[in-house]
Amino acid sequence: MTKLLKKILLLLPIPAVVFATTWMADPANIKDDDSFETGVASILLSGKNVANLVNYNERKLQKYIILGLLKPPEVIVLGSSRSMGINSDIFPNILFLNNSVSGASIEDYIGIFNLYRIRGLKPKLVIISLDPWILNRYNGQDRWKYLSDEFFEMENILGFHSTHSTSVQEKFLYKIHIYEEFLSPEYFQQSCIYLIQKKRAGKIYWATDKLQAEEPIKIADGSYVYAEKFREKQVADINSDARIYAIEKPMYSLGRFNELDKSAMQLLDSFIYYLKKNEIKVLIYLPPYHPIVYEVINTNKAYTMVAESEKWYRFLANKHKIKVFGSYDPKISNLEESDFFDGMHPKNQAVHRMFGLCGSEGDRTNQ
Amino acid sequence: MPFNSLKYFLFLPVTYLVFYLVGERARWSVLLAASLLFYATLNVPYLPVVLILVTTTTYSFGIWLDQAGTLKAKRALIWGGIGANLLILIVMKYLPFLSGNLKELSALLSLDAKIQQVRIFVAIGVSYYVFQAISYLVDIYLEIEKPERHFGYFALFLAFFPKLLQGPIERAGDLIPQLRCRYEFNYDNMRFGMLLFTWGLFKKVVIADRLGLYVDAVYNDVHAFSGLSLLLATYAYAFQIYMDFSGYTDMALGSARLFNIKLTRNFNSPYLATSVIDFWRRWHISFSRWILDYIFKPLQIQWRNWNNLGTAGALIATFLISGIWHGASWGFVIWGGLHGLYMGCSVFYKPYQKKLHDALRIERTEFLKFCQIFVTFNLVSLAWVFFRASNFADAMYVVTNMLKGIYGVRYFISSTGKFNILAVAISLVIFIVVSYNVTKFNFLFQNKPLFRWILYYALLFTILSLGKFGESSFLYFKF
Repeated sequence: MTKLLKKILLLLPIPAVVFATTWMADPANIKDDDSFETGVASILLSGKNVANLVNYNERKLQKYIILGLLKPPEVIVLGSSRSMGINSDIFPNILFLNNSVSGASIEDYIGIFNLYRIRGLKPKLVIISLDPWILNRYNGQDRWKYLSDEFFEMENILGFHSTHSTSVQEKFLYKIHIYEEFLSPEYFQQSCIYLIQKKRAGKIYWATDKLQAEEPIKIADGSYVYAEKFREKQVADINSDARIYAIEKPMYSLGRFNELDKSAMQLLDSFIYYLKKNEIKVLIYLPPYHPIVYEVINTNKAYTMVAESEKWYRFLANKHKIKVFGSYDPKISNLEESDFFDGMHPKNQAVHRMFGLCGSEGDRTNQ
Repeated sequence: MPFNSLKYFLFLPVTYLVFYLVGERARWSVLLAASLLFYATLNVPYLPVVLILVTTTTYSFGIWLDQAGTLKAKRALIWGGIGANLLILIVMKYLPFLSGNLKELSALLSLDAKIQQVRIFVAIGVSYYVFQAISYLVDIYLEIEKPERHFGYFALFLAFFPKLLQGPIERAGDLIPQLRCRYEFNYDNMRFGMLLFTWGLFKKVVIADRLGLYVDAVYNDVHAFSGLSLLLATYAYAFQIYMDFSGYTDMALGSARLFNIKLTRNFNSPYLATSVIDFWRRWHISFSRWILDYIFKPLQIQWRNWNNLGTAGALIATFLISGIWHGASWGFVIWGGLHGLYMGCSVFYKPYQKKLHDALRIERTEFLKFCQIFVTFNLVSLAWVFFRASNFADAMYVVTNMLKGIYGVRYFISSTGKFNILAVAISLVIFIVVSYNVTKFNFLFQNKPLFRWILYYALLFTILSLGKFGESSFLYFKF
């Protein structure tokens, strides 16, 4: 047994190397170091765009952007990466900020909005981009926990207390989960690739006036422009990506989606009620899926709740007299395969088409 | 808790530690408790009910069989025991298939039968432990084995966690004596177990899961592809299922070895088989042995008067049952039927085949061996199409289009990214090198500790850097 234990000790360098690599590279910048996001936020707040911005804490960036705002934006967008194509071109001559964060859940919307409230900034129009997984209790999204203080505070204001455990607990679990990442094989792989790329590229991110480039660009209005390779794909490649997305088991954040989450429904309802009560206009956007993906969603029994969630969002919009743009069904949204980057992200031009009438909606925010 | 999950990586050493620290008399209970905990983590509500039913029924019938005085009583008991087990299997796994087909049949015949569609209660592992239970009863009936009187050891024989979900299918005579054996720490067993487990992990997360990306891209939307893409995806699936299943088996064998238990070897380079019969001697060996002993042989004896026709019929019937055992769908039935047909036909052409080889003077040549391996691999791959395709229409599309052109090959190859291509290529090279040099490595393992440790590190870092991690269950989990 002693011999075995000694041999097992010889294996310890493996987790040590994994930890050292992930810690050193930290491609998703998950260590609690604010310098990365504050640096990006200061560039964006100065009106410049940021090139080559990948793998960072998007919630933290939103926090520093909102904390650094000098004027309140008139129109804001709360949503996921699927709504990052909504940009200021849709609302010309209006102060616009897209606060979408990848894999957003209802807690993100509420937490980010609370950042505005805390700063005493009140937008005139909030576009809420609703993904189906918002109503999936098992969506697996926990990135909102970075904003747990902000979320819980706003949750109290909305009159809820019971949907989650205390903020301290949530934060502690979030920290543990974050540090687990430093030993995960996936993060080790990402770290190795990152170290190789960093060595090649030399720079991590930089300020730019360009609106599109070879690298991905975060625009000062909060929207996102994908890297050239991803942006300029042929339809066959887009379809191929969509197919791969569609066969993921389960599809992104839609696993075990057997019923609509009542607590999320109530929270969203109350949030919209709060916005309306505070004379903030609301628009709902339902970002469409790629036709191949939607076909799978439509025919696979495991995803019947996607259509149910759209139905409920429309019911909610009707209840609060809110206009709805888009639909998960690309046919209803009048989109084709070429209107997408991949299985779930519509192109910016497609988003513009869907929001065609929105200029006038935006104009009304000035009234 | 799949074997390739972090939970299992913690569960296994903790179980071993408790097993090692408790006294000899309590060791079986540690393993049984760990097995139950292992199943509990699967979150399949009816699984404990099935386990309890199969265990108590089989245990009781085993004792009664031993106590039965007359042959008539024994016969009644053996059929009772088998029937009870099959009934559990049908209710838990095949009722939806049967009700669905009856519903369609009644609609086809314009009958107004009100047949309710039933859902599957338990699909995971049930086929494995029911087969083990049946073989236990038959062995007692044939007086090959005595019944196990200790309920704990018997329950552990059925529920032992490394082998239950995907086999190997163990015979009571092989496993129970090992479970009863006094445990003594054995360093070589530990080392071998850990190595085998790691090798299985490599096959699963590096080769099978990465090949699966190609296979899924095509098979989940077959109509978007044609020609060579379909053929390549079918070949990829042949290797994916082999790596996945044999990887699981290696991990099961490795886990069991920590407790000084040697489970049955389940694979022996199946794609180097020179005939379909040879393939079944090398693929899922414990299952092949089971169906040979408990289905084929009785049928062959029953139909012995029909000579070759009887043997061919027994083969076809056996493999049709094997198809149904794999799953409640027509795809599995066709897959089994095809294998039965291949082997049934070989009964008739075998004598002429030998004459032909002699006439061509190619008997026992490397050329003939290569041709036989090539043909066998392609026949087996053709059958895999029905095993993998989502439905019969998709399978027929693949079969009828796989030799038409090269449309979509570029997307097929590039769809999963350069990293995946690189990972698959490197891992396949490693697999081939290791598979062909096992004896040389054994020599190195015994003599060169430094080189051995370099290999350990290389294997682990290959898994870490090329493996596909995240939620991925084993393909044979559903049986």
